[in-house]
Amino acid sequence: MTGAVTGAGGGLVRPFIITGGRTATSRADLRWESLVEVTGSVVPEPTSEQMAILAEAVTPVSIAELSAHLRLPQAVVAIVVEDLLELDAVRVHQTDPVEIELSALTRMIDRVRSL
Amino acid sequence: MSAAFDAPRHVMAAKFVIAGGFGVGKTTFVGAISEIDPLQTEAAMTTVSRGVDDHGAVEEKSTTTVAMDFGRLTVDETLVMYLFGAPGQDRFRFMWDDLVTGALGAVVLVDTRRLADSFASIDYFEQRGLPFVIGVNRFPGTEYHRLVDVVGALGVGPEVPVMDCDARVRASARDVILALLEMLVARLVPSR
Repeated sequence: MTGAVTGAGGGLVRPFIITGGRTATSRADLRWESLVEVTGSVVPEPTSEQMAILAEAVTPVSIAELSAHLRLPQAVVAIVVEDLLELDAVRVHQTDPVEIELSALTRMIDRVRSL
Repeated sequence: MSAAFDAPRHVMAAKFVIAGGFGVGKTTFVGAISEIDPLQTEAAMTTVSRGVDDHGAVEEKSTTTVAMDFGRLTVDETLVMYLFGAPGQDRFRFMWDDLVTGALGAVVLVDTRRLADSFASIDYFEQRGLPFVIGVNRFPGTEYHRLVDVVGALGVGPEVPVMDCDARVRASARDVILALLEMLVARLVPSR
């Protein structure tokens, strides 16, 4: 890698162009597995990265998957998601491990057994 | 706003970390469980450059990004499992705090020819108090070590399940994940 990434628009740009110079999100809670989902609010004049995320997040999708599909580093995706949060265009589903109770574990066991 | 968005249900993501030394079969394991072909993503550019700076020119093929493979298994509409293959090499340890935060548990894959490659992962999960199981990946043509000998060499306590595992075989990887999930259940229901 040369430090350049192929953005959602297909053009080759350095990552900080997409993020407006930012290198990290201020939202420490935006983790790899955080699930992003559109709210339905319209974003006026979205960037190509914003458009790509809004298109993918019609159903909840993790930041890791967005990063893989858009071929953008995770930190860049987190920054764009943060912007979309501020526009109320997405919501983020966070999971605290203590939320995963017996019923969720049982559902996971059933699902894995079915493999 | 359309009616479909009026009452958003909460969707949970259950994160698991698949760890172990380089080439031990982490991505294969992830692929055996995942409903999608393992995806690859890259870590943050800032943390990456920090990692590169720390270790400087000693790394071969040093790059400015670190790729990580992961997979997904949808349980139902409100629960998704994610399996992340943790980059095993020491120079990627800076990523582990990120990966382990919020994780439910981990699998440490062990290659008996390179047992020591798994020590760092085991140490780390023990320190973090993250529940983990050990899968001993059997590579064709390698000397067979009894599990009890592997357990002795790894020095893990009796609470840590250690089992044979062929990461290429879905049923085998499945049994390792099941052992981890059962372990998590036992922690919630100690008397079970």
